[in-house]
Amino acid sequence: MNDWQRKSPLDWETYVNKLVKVVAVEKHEYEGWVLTVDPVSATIVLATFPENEKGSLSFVMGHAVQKVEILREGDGEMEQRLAGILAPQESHAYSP
Amino acid sequence: NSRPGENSRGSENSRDSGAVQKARAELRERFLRLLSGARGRPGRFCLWGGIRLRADFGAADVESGTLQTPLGIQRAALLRSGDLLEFSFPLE
Amino acid sequence: RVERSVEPPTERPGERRMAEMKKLYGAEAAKIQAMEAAMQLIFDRNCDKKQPKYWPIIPLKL
Repeated sequence: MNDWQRKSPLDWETYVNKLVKVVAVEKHEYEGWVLTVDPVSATIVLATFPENEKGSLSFVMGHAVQKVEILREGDGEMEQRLAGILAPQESHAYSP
Repeated sequence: NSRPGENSRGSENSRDSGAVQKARAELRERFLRLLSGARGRPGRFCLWGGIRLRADFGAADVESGTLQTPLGIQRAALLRSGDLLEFSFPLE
Repeated sequence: RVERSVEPPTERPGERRMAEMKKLYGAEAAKIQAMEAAMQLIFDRNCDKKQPKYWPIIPLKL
């Protein structure tokens, strides 16, 4: 188990709504806004909004995470944008 | 082999405060929402050793961390979470 | 198919699971459990329908 997986939910929570750079195994790097960290697998979910492109959601598996560096805090506008991704409009996905 | 995230299921949890439980629940709920919202979307999967796959996301076994995804034509496959490094989907 | 839990036969799995969930999630345990159960149902149904095999056959990492 790596250091990232050993963190407490209170630690992971501090990354939410922040722009981070995730360094993963095999020299992969991912940059995006943190939507959540799964407390079971330590998988970190990032939203990216590249210009002139559709945004994407990226799930970096906890076991692959080597380092997470905070680059920037989110402002109110970004927080709203991120909240929109989590809005319960997709709750239909739970019904079988 | 241990499942991912056995950490948060250890015996230490008996000492967890309400604040820790609340944070854990919030993070887990967000994760489950996002994962379930990904169903049926075209995903890119990055595995160990530079293996990359494109496949629609099927469903996830949130317990064992197994992902189910169609591969090729009319074929379904199960990806092990331990084999995966990252996967992504376009936002709507 | 994957057989997940290995519960000792003397315990009632549902009760033990709920106690574990309570410890992890406190007041939100029932909600989280319901969400997990709903996703698990979809997963199990898909598996019944499509009979997927593991890919790759051998894990890349043990």
